This record gives sequence, C-alpha cells and structure tokens, in this order.
Amino acid sequence: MEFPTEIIGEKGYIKVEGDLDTEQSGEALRAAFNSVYDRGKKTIVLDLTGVQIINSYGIGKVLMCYKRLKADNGVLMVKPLQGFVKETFELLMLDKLLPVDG
Amino acid sequence: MTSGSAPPKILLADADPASQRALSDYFREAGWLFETVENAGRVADAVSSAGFDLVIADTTLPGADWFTVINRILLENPAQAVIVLSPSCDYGDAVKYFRTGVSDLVSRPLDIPWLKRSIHQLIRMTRDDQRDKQLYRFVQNEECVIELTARELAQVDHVSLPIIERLYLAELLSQNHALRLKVAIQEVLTNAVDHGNLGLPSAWKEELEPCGRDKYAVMRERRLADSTYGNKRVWISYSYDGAELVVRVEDEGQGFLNRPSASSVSPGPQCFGRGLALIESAVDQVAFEKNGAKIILTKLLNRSPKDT
Repeated sequence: MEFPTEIIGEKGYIKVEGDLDTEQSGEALRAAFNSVYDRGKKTIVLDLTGVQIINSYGIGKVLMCYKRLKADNGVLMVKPLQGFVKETFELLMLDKLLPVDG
Repeated sequence: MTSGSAPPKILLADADPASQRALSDYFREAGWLFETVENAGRVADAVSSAGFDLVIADTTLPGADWFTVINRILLENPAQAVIVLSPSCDYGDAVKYFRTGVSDLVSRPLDIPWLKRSIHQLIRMTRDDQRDKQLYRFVQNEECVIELTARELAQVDHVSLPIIERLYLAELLSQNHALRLKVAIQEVLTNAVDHGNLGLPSAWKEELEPCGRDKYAVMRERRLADSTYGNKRVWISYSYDGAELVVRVEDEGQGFLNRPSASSVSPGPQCFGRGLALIESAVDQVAFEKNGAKIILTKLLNRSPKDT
C-alpha cells in the first residue's frame, strides 16, 4: 500500500487512500510522510478526503506526524475534512490542532 | 434501489460503444429500465438522486477519479450493487475496489455471457435483500455469542457484526450511527486483543524501534505468535430485543483500573488514548465489569423513523 505524495512549492502533500485504521495503512502514512519530510518540507498537508473510516490507531499515526513536524518547527495541515473523519476530528478536538489547507 | 414490483433499474456508465450496445439490448429484452451516463463525474449524483438496483462502472470512462466516485456511492449506500468494468485489472486494483465494497469486478475484454449472469444474480440478490429488510423490522429478539482467540481476531482487519448491517437495512439505524458503531466495536475488540490479552501498553506506540516501526507493532507481532498470549480468548456477544442493541466483549486480560472519560481528552499531542472517546460517542451507555476486562455497549434504537 502506498499513498501518493506531491511537492508543490514549499508544501508537501500526501493523499491518503482508503481507511486509516490498520497497521498497513499506518505504515503507508509513515512512509509517505518520511518521503516528504526527508525532502526538507516542513509544511505537510494530509488529504484525508478519500478516507472513509479513521480509528484511534489512524489518529495516533496522524499525531505522530504532527509531533515530528512540531518538534522541527514545522506544520501539519489537512485538506478540508468531511463526513465521518470530520466528525471524529471535531469530537477529539483535533480540528483545533491541525489547520486546514485551502 | 427500486421497489420489488417495479422492473429493475440500472445505471450504465460504459465508455465502450460495443459493450454499451450489447448491454443496452440485453436490458431492453429483459424489460429492465436503464440510464446511461457519458461522464464519470455525473455518476455519483445520478445514483444519489434516483435509486438504481445496479451500477455498472467502466473505469475508462473519463470525468472523475473512479475510486473516489465508487467510495462516495458506497458510503452513501453500502448496499448499492456495483460492477466495475476494468481495462486490465491487477491484484492491487482488485483488492482496492473490493475493499470499497463493490459487488463484482470484470476485466476487459468482456466476457458478455459471464457479465450478464453476474448482473442477473445481483439483481436477484438486491430484490431478496429488500424483502429481508422489510422482514427484519419485525424481528423482536436476536442473540449471538462468538468465541475467538486473540490470534484469530488479529487476522481479520475489520470485524463487523452482521446485525448492524441488518439494522441499517431495516432503517432502524442510520448510516452514520451504523458506521460509528462499527468503529466503536472495532475499538473495543482492539482493546480486548491488544491491551487485554496481549498486554501491550499504549505508550509503546510512540517508541520507535531501530527498524523504523513502533515498538507496539513489533511487540504485537511477537506476542501474537507466542501461544501464551495468542491463544487467549475473546468473547463477543450481542443481543437485540427490539428496543436496544447490547454488545458485550470480554477478554482474558487483567483489566485495568483507571479509564479517562471522553470529556477529559485534551487536544494535546498524545498519540494514544482516544479509543474510549470514539466508543462513547457511538453508543448510549458503556459499562465495565471485571476491572475492565469486560465491556458492555448499549445502543438504544428508534423503531419508527431512523435516527440521524
């Protein structure tokens, strides 16, 4: 499983596909994050619009990305959220933590 | 979906004129209704606005990303029958599409007789499902007990209790609540396996091993392979009495003493500890027994219009 990444200017983009609720998807996110981060991008945008389900495991992986960037004075952003993922982020107050890109 | 007495209605989104003609002729001969769509970007809206018994989706039809289109269709209606026509399907693509919930995937060049059999079978199943949906509204009692080992449960990515799908199809549970319940039950099962039977502390999720994976994932793999841990059992039971759904999950772990409530979850950067908030948001009551080794979820059901 691989998530597509893209560099546009100073931002790196990761498009998460499918559910973010297993170790496989978590590892794919970690690998995609590392590939963007290792290219020197400190503003990384997660596109979760294709994600149907996110659970505590997936949220933990998102927060690992957040912490790593924060420790390096970087920013983790998200594309506008929708559906179940949006509700989940709001429930857990993560919408206060991750700014929206676009 | 159309009602049982009306002829089946199919949405055909096919880029190939020859197969479109063959299928259109077939539908006409069968006395079925059908509509064609020339742009992938219009498929999801067409499905939302008019019920179709079946959607036939040719992924070479341009206009949108088909994976996104199909995800949207099935998110809005998990019971929607979808056949994907793919130019040449590799294993990865097949897994991707089937994980979204499509009913069948046929690669080109099309075996038209095979495709017709698949269409006929799906139409019949869709109509049978509609009759089952109507019947299930009168079910007053249902119970089930499942016993699995930690290792057996860990081999399954998602555990979805069939009763949730039946309650959704019977319109006793909204799509949103069905989804939340599925996630909540998965959280409870993960808790039972990982923290209960395998004894994995959440804090290990933030510790990286030299291989780059987190310690939690590495130790989980090791302990599942160890019969001392992997053979420990988990019991899943549910009961439905027409008014409420009660799900009970029990593991063979030691349980735990302190549980943070959903209201105390802070926006801090801790990478764990949010499962309980997700569970509590999905049900009306969460109770614990045996020091937390047994969790009981209760979801009240509205038997008239579906709740939102």
